[in-house]
Amino acid sequence: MTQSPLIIHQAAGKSMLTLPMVLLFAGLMISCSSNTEQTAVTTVFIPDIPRTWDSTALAGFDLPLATARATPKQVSSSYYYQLPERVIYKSYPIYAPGREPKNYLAWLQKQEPQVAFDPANLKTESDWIKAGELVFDASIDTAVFPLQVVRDKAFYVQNNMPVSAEGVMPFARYVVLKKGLIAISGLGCNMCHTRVMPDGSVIKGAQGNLPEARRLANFFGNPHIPKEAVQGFVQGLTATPWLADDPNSRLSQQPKEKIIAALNAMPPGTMFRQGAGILFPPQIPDLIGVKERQFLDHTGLNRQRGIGDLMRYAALNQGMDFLASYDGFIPGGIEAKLLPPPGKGLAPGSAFRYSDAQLYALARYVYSLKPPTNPNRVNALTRQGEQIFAQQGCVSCHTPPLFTNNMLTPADGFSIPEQHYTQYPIFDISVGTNPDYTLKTRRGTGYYKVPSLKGVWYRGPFLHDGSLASLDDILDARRLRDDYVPTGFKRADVRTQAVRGHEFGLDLKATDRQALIAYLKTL
Amino acid sequence: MMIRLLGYLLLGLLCRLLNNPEATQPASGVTFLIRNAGIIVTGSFSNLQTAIHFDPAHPEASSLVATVSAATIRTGIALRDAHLQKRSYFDTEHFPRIRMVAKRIQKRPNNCYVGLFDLTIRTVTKPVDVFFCYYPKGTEGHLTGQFRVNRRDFGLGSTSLLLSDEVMVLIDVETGPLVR
Repeated sequence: MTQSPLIIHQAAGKSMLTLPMVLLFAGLMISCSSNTEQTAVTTVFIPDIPRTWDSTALAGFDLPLATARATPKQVSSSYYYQLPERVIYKSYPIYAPGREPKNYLAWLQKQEPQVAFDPANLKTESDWIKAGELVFDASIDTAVFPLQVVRDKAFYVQNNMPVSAEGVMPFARYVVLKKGLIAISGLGCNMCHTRVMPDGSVIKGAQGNLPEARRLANFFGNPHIPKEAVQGFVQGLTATPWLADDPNSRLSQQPKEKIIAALNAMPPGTMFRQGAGILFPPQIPDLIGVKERQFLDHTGLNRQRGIGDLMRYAALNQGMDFLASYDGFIPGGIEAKLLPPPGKGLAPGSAFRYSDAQLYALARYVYSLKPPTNPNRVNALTRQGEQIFAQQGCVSCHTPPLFTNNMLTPADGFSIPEQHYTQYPIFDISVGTNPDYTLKTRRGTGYYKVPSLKGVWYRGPFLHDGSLASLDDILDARRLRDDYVPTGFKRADVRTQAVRGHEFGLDLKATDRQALIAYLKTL
Repeated sequence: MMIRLLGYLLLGLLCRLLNNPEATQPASGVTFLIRNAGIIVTGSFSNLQTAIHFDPAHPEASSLVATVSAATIRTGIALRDAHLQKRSYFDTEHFPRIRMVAKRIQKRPNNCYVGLFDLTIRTVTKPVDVFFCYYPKGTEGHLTGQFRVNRRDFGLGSTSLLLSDEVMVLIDVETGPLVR
């Protein structure tokens, strides 16, 4: 087991797309309320587990990409089920320096590895949900966080790393793979979908706030990291070769410093996940309440027709999408053209698969997530805000009780294909937000899904690209000006940048704006 | 209780519009009201075109045709207006005008009438009963009327928990020289 943070792979006799194993942020992100329900009477629960990689279900799972010919063709069921299953070991919390129990590491080194997920031991529905949390926290790559790094105070200081009230860094965990061999779980769902609140409480499943881009930028700044590795990382994760003058590939050819600057432009709460981009990062979605969403991903890339689709989404985003063919381009393929033999993929997560039972447990866990107790109470001001919410027409898209109408809106520059009107719920007007994410990435369908406003009080930054840090900023008309400095994500190559689109409520009186925001924070 | 209160408010607004000539005379036009998320949204259409031959004494001999540009819909929120012009509502690209044609008109007390009109929105034509009153003004006059429609009968949007199906439509028309 290597602890090397960056590995550049060469297949036997064949050069491969340089795909650092170092990270991937993919993510299905899930969360969990720590107090899962206990049933008073134990009843045997026999789960009805869908087949994850079912060819019929997969056929309607993906939406076409905006460039239709590049719509991903997923690996076959035969290939998928030849992949070895992941083994999920018992894991342990990582404490920040100075917060660790005495002799903790020494104790860990004496522990035997324990397989934590065993469906034979799951008797009740509650057992399955609890087991799902294990999957949520489980690693798909142990090279992301080197052991010595997470124990180094500088790691926390340089990255302004959030730590819980208990001193735990909750975005990864120690895992004992062999007695005496401690690794750090990486690229688990918890990496992106865990949020540390200002009071030190931890919300699993929420829009995460791991400063991953900053961490990676600092890591890439190490002079021992070769330029080619950094460039290969960008290419493997983000290239969209079917686009003319592909901006993602262009970035991958830039000097390290430019790539590092692009990474540093991303605030916590956004993520440079595979298929999305460094130039066009997505806001990390909140998983709490995801069961009620008809589409997954900001672009509605995948449908959610039932629990099986969430299982597929997790499998896809935890490695399988590296093996999809985008008009012949296979990001994790040999020379980006050929599928590696099953189990031999070098892209993060692509050599293994979750078992269907693991994915089912994970999805049940995600569905069980509950929002934290909202400290914001309904009062006269929020009731006034509720009226304004209706008067301003917010309800048309952010329709109660889900505060989304679960529809897709086309981005500027995308023409809706005629057949889509009968295939998908389309709210056929663009709200004018930046179209790049949905037109220039592997996840780009040409649409954005209407997001739910539930839970905005505990999360941010906002908009699909995380360009605005707060609700106040969304309702601030100054954001439309070219001399505006975005409070969230801002491209690295500009000093100022207007944040256009979703131009509602910008002319409200200050008191009405205050009331509207107060109301939104009660949701 | 709240629904009843809103109903009263709506009724009050209608009575005011119908019974107060001052309120309805500024210009010919079409106004509508619909309840959305507990509040009454008012909107309008413009570019009203009419062909009216109205005889107050013999309304059965009258001819009334009115059309309005669907793309002129205004509700106070520009993006909502744009969306209402799309295919899930008025589809103004393909169906630019809304049309009403009187089929039969009957007199009621106090210069008021009930007319059976064919209302055509998009590809759907449905009969609607329009209650209207005539307000003479020299040799000309105003016709001010109102009717209710179910928006879904005309394919305007889909089922909604928040947006009412029923729409109240108010019409105010300059008649021009009367037929006598």
